[in-house]
Amino acid sequence: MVDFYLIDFAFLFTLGITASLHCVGMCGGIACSYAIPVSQKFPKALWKYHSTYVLGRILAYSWIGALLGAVGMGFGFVAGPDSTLQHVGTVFAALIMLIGGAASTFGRKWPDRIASVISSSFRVFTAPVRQWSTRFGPWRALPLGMLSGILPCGMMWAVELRALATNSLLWGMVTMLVFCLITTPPLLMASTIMAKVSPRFRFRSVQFAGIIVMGMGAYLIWKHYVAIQTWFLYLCDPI
Amino acid sequence: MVSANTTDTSCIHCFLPIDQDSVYHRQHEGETLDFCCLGCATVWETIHGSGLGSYYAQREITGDESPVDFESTQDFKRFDREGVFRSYVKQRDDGLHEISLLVDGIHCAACIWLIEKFLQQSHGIHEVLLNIGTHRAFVVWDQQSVKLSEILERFHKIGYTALPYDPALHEQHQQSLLRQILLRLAVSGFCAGNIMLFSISLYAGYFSGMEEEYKFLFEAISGLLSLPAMAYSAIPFWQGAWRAMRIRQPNMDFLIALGIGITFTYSVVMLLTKTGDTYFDSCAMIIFFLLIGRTLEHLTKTKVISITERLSSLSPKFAARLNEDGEEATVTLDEIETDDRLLVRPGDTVPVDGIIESGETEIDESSLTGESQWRFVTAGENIFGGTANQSNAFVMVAQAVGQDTILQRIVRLVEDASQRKPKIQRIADHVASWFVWVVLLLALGTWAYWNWWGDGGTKSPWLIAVSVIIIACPCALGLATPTAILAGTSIATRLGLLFKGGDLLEEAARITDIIFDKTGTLSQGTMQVISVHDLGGQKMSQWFPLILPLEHLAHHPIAEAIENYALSLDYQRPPMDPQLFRTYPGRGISGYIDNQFIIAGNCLLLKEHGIPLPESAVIPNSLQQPYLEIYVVINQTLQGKIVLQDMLRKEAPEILKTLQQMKIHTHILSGDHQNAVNYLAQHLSIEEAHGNLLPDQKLEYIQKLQEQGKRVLMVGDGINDAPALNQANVGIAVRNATDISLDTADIVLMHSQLHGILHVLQISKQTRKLIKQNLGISLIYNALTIPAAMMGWINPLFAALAMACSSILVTLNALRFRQAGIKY
Repeated sequence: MVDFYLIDFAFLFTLGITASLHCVGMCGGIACSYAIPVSQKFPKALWKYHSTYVLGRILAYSWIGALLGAVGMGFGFVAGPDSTLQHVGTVFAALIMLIGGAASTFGRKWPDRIASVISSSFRVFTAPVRQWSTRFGPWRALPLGMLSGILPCGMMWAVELRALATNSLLWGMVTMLVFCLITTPPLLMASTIMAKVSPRFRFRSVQFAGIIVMGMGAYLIWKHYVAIQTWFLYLCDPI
Repeated sequence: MVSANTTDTSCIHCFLPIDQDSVYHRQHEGETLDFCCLGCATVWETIHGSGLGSYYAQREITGDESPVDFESTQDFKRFDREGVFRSYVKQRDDGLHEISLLVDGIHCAACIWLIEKFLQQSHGIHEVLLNIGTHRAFVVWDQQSVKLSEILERFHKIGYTALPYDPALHEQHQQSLLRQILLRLAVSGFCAGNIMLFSISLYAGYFSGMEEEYKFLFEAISGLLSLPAMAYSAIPFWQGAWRAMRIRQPNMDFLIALGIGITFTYSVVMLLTKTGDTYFDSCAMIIFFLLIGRTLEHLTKTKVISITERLSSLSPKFAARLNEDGEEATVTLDEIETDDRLLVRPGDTVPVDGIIESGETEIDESSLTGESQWRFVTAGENIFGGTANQSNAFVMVAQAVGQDTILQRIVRLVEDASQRKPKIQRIADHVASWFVWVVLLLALGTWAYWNWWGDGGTKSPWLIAVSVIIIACPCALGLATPTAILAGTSIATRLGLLFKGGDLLEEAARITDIIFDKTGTLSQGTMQVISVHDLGGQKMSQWFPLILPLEHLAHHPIAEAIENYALSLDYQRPPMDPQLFRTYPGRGISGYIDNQFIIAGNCLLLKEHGIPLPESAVIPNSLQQPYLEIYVVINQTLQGKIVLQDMLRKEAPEILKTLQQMKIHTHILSGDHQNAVNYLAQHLSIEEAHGNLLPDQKLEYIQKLQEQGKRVLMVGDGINDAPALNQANVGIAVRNATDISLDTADIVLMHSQLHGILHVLQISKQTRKLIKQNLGISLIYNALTIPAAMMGWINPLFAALAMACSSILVTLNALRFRQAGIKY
């Protein structure tokens, strides 16, 4: 059962807007690192680098979104459409979002142990990507763009969880893609934004993004709580 | 909500404060680096792993420069002080003063028209010329009637800030402006992008149904998101509109502000009353599209107008001045005075114009003349500021400093050229200013029609009128000519051609006849020995060295040519002083060397001395061949003959052939003998050849051609041909820019290559074609889109996109020409 409505778009957009300042701080460095030498030596070629970087991001985000959506969809097939197990699974994902959002808002990182485990598993992907990105020419920006889709980033994990909870390959992909596209323009203007926006303001935006993640989680729980409650009442009173 | 454990330490990657409970470390070159999260640490590793680690070092260096604060420079009275006044103002021969100003806040042709009109009506101001491309104003005024500070205040009064032009200030201003535009663009793009995503939901809701609460929520969020675009990104439009309202002369900013203002107000009313659809997306997108257009325009203009900045930057900041004791002191260029002795080391740029006092070196003059070969110079020779010393250190004596150097004269010429507008541009500027009124009337009429008589269905009359206002902004019309002229002059300067006015590009494109001067133009203007013949009993190795001591004393171009020829053959000048040395003007020289009486001269001199002429002797100015023969007589016996010729420029035949292919009539006018001129004309297939002409006869010849309706281009050396160059529709001086030709001709070829003539013609034709193309684009655009908008077929969003596209198209068209260059 596809779980994605217009209100989810609204959440994603707002999260994308607020989280983009966080992205500028973290992933913006990647865009700047290849753009600065290129803009000094071959300013006319900069658009090629930016294009391949954006392409890399789109590829990585859409594939990860599709993969997670497919996992959710597969889980739905196994557990049965609209089954209680599927609802419980979604609520579980939503709970993680809630905890993660709270961690961002109240200045705590996502639990270190979890983050470290996930991060180290991502090294399997990041090592070849780095290898590729040492090559010259505009295509070196492609793996760098792809890498931003597999970085250990709390904001992205929240969106990935939401993609998982869509229970649809297509909507999982759309979820990640929307987030990718909203955050791309600020990344390409990272140097200007970094110069104009103070770290304190970026820090506040991360805290605010945490609230939105919590809102997304809470909304998911509210939606699926009704189904779980119905199932619970049914268990208590089968008639 | 900030964690209590946040420390003063910040993340090495993103600068966010680090929570001491969850700090991540990485080792780098023996140093421990702190990161706020695993993400930052991973990105840092990736950047280093990809070989891009220099980013962190560059990030430290690339500081954020504080923008030029035009607001803080409004103490205009300081420009009346004598020192400051003298730095920027030039007094003309007629007693009036002139200055070049950098004007902030110009956006369109209507601004140009407005400023020119307002200031020209002011008492004491004689002339105001503004350039939309360079944002520069050329003002001529009477200092007795009005002060410079008062003129600057008048600019300020109508909402523009003008300051005396200074290349450094201009550069900073351009950078600051670009930063500001990019930030406004980013904010509007961010808002527009996100509003559009909500709009997609709303559009989807129109078809599949949407609950009223959701619709209100999405529209309200869109309204909130459009606020930053309206309040920040649209500031230039609001400011421009306010200026226009203050002086009751609407401009393009007024139209845009009116359009987005109506759309936003309409949408707010619809949102609050829930009586219709909102168009916050249109507001944000209009601003976004228009800012894209302005950003591209700005970038293109910056590229095109960088010529004078590039030329100005050739001057070094400092120079090494030697005092009477030979001690060296570093001084700025302003401190150098004429007759100062300056030390120029290898690799240094020559600071000012002067003469070499001691030392010899090779000078790279490519920056001034375009000539790639270095010039060998030695004591007594002239050198020019802005050229580069390539070999040895030397001491020079300053002869022209400050604004009097050749480099500064070239900069002024290029600047003046950008101020002279073609006729077609003056018309376009004037039309653009009236066009705004026409647009307002059309919009009002459209609104009235759709409000009272038309049946727009769901379309609001307000939005249809807004579409008319937005789509009809005459930006493209205003940009059409100046962008083309800027592109043309930019290519010309790159090729070493100095146009003294943008109007000349228009004039040179319509040339029907080209007149050449002979000596120094088609020929090199210097004699060269082409052959030497033995005519007596002695061999050349015996008689030729004997004439060298005489030639050395002669100081004549022919003597110089003979000496150079001797040098090329390794003949040494005998160390003997000539006795009874004598010169015979126009005929030759004579004197005693080692008790032998030697005569070196033409046949007339031989005749005077009663020496029989050989049968093949050339009588000067009487034969067809333009050769010059010098006979050498030793003790009344003819021993040899030296043949000299003013060599034809190598490229001349090719140039003439190309001109004939272009169906341009060619003429040669010269003061030389008719036969010599005929010979040259025949050799080069020149249609008309006239010799024995005085300067005023050349002038009459040109006048006659002009009376026949011909448009004449005169190519001369800029000194003897001054009257003809002035009389011709376009005058080109084919000499180095270091000559007096800078002052006499309309166009100066900074190098001495005749190919420059073809470049002039081609650039002019291309520029004229470009102007026509650009005007065509803007007229077709308005002719098609205004009726469509009035019919209600175009919504405001598309109108903004189309309007931005038309401006971008015109600018890119000019840029295309600049990139493509020319073929010759």
